[in-house]
Amino acid sequence: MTRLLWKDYRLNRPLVILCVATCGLVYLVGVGTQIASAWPQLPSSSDWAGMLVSSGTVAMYLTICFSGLFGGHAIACERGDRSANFLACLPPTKLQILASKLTVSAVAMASFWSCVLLTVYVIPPALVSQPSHVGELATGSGVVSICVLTFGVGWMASAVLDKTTLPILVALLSPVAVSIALILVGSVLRIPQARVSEWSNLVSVTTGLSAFIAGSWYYCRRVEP
Amino acid sequence: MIPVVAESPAVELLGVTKKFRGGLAVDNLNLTVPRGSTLGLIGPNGAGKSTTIRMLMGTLAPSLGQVRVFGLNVANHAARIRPRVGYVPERHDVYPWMTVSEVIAFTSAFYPHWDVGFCRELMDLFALDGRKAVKHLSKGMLVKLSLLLAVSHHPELLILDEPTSGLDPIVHDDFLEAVLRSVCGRGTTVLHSSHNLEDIRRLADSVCILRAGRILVHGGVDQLLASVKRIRAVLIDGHLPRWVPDGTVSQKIQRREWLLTVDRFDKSLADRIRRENPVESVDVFDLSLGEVFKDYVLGGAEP
Repeated sequence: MTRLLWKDYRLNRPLVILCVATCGLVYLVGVGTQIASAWPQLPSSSDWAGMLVSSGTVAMYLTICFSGLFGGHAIACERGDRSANFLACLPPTKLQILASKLTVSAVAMASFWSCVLLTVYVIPPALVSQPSHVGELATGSGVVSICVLTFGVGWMASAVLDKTTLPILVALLSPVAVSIALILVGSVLRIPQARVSEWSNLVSVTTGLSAFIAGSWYYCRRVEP
Repeated sequence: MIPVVAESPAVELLGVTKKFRGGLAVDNLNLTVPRGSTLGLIGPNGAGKSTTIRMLMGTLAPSLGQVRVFGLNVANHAARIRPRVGYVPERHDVYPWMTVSEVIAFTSAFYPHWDVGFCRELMDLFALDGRKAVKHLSKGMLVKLSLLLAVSHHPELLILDEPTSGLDPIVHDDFLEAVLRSVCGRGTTVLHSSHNLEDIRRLADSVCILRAGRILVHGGVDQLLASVKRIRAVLIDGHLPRWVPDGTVSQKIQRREWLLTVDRFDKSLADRIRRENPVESVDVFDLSLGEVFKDYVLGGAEP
């Protein structure tokens, strides 16, 4: 299992680097903007806190794309270069292969989310000696549910398709599709939009988890690598 | 519950059929490979050799029938079978971004009986550089790496799917030497699919000729060469053959020369050809495995 984890980490390493670089750029732009706006003085603690919250929020929304990337890349990447054929003839079971892929993606996403949580909800209140932005946790939970959606849909598409481009695209478009579907359902059933919006988190998580389970089931049932 | 089948053959194909959209790739194949034997699987392109091997490896499901390895159904017990099997495919899909050492470390982790010493010996024999990335290996080196990965855990069944096609003679000889070294005295069952009939002649105890997904002939190599003969008869001018023996694999008439390849040959057959046909002379020739193969495949004999 350790070797599978190592292999999946190496497969996902370019994505991890891309995501770290993107997040780093967001924070770097935030730092640069703060310094430039306060020049020639240094930014105050509350300026830093504001910068961390705004950069962290941008990074939080970026995790939607990251989870789509990880989900869509997970299985199809090995079909793309045909190395799935090699792996299929080795002893690991499909469940072990999936568990390793999921672990690596989950650890990567958890790391990004830890960073986001620290910069949005933990560090800024400490800097300005204020209570945490509890109210913004609602935004966070909404983003998490969309992350579950993009990851699950990407994972399922990746289990079915042979190249990573389409699964990633499908994953990134899935929140739009779910939103459109909710709006349509609301207008057909004459349900107020505010009420429909309340369902979006639940629908996103349910769709994401269902897609993840369906993709895993399909991968385990499929005989061809 | 996993059935423990101690005395079962290494490989059993029971009425195996594989249909693709383009048609039948394998048609009701029944084949048994006893443990410790070496079977040469030969046939023209599209005969169904690679499809059969993919079904044996559990990476392709048969449309009908059952594929069993060591008595276990591949469809249900692939994970139990794979640690006991070494496989050198026709196309080597090893992770291109790994180095040779990384591939070896990665693969060895899944085999409890990985022989580090033997692996090192093969690396030296093949002059494989552990630091080189797989994507930078030549075709010959990739084949050698693939063989090293397949045999370093001393598999009970070694499956070779046209591994030496397109190799230069030196790499080819290195490859065969390593195969012989790895299977010698270990009771390894070998299933070797190849277009190189010299390799089959050198390695195999028995041979199976496939055409259009069906077995044309299956038997011991020596037994086959002893029983399949070519008969050249010179016909009397203006006459055609009257009696064609049963077991004729192929026949051709050019002017007065009548060439027949027959299975189950014995001396009385030549005498009967003389008696029953308007011939001036009858000569009998031995055939090479290549000639037997060509006559079976081109002769149009029904399986």
